[in-house]
Amino acid sequence: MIEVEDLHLAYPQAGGMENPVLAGVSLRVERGASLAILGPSGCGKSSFLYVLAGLIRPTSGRVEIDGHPVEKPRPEVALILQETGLLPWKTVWQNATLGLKLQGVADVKRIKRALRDLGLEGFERRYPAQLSGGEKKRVSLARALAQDATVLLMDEPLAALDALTKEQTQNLILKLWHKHGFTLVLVTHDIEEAVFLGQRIVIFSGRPARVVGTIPNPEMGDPAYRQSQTFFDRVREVRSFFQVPTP
Amino acid sequence: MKAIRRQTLGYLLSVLVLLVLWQLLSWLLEATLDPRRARVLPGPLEAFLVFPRHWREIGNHFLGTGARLVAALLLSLVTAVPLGLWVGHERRVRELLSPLIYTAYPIPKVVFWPILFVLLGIGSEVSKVAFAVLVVFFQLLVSARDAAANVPKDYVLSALAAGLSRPKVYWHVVLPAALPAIFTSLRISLGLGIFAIYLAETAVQLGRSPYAGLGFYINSSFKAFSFESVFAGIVAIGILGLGLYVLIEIAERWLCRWKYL
Ligand SMILES: Nc1ncnc2c1ncn2[C@@H]1O[C@H](COP(=O)(O)OP(=O)(O)O)[C@@H](O)[C@H]1O
Ligand SMILES: [Mg+2]
Repeated sequence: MIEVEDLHLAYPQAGGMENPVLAGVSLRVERGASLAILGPSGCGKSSFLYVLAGLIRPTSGRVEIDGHPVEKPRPEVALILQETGLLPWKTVWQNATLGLKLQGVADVKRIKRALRDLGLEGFERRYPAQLSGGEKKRVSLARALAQDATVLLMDEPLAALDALTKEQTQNLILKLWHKHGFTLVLVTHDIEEAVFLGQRIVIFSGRPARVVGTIPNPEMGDPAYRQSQTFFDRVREVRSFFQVPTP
Repeated sequence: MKAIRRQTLGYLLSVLVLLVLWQLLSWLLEATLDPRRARVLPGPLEAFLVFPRHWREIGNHFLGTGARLVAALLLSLVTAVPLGLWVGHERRVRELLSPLIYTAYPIPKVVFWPILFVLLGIGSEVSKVAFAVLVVFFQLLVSARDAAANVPKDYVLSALAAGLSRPKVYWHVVLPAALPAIFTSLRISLGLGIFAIYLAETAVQLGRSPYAGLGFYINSSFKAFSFESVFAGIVAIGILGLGLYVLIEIAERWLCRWKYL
């Protein structure tokens, strides 16, 4: 479970000024649940994920994952970034196992299985430049599975993909979520993606970000949801949030 | 494979073109100047004929210059690159030390040459290598710093999130990201290093060791009006530079193979 309470974050700026980015964000994600975060560009969504990943320390507030305060990156928490999450000088195998201490055959087998499940068998020795956009995303997912993450944080992961690959990858994320039962926190600027993958959709205000809306979306979970009337209604409901000026 | 063959062909052609130009120029001088002055530019053949007669002497000087050059480049690499990556990657250090680096960078290092010679022993090997290190060091330092400062933040973040420690981030992210720029800089350093070693070798002619270097050889041939030998020495320096250049290229193709897919 992820618990965030009254989270404040400000970046120091030139001249001793502070740039407030998060102004009292509180939310909670149950274990194995999925949450999508939408918000205007530059409001602090990425920064929020970095705090959850233990990459930056907040100015104040409480952040706990499974009862432990988040202080540094931990192997149970995987972070997938938009474009440059993979290291171009490492092969698929090296990228998928980055940061892991492989101990024995069992670990190697587990990672091989993860790569096979993601359709990356035979790609182990390729470099990211030799992969399509969708394949690169799958390598990032393979890394998350390889580290047996219980929490998957994704920062606009599919923004650079073409529409078709994007949809396939969304279906894949859904499938993995069902199969592995990790907690999913997805930051996106794509409303349909948020409705497709988020059991709950949280809307951030402009900078400094606060939670200005929470929309339950319990009907999600099936690839066919995309086609349903409920889906379209939900998308419309979320969209209406961005048409009225938020306070 | 094809690319390598094309490149080899390129090298051969350039050497050929250089030789032809040299020959033409020497003929031109011969035709226009009086013979005593035209002697300063002998043709390639005359220069090459020096090698069979003096190959052992030239070979030893070649080894001397080569050893000094390689020592200077390696010493600069192992000091400037770690320091540059550190300064470039750590924001606080960068803000603190970058002004210092950029102040030191443009100062012509030749001005320190007499000081180095006096401090480290006139004509000593240490002083020659130290002078070349001084010349090359800042070149490598500045490019390592700049490259490390420009590593995309996402690479570092995703490596940290994957659980890499900060020292490991240097090895797995900062260094490989900076490596192409470091190799470019190393090629420039090669030219600078040859210049520095040459200068250091011509400067002092005490204790004429057989390994005194091509700089010494060229300089003393000049003084003896032996212009064929001068050009034989220049050819030898050219071969040394080209050889090291090719080695650097091979190392880059291996270490940065992800760039050449
Ligand atoms: N490392 C940093 N130092 C200072 N300011 C930053 C840093 N990272 C982001 N910011 C600022 O914080 C704000 C929020 O950035 P970000 O979290 O990336 O927003 P989003 O992901 O919602 O687009 C922006 O104004 C950005 O300029
Ligand atoms: Mg962002």
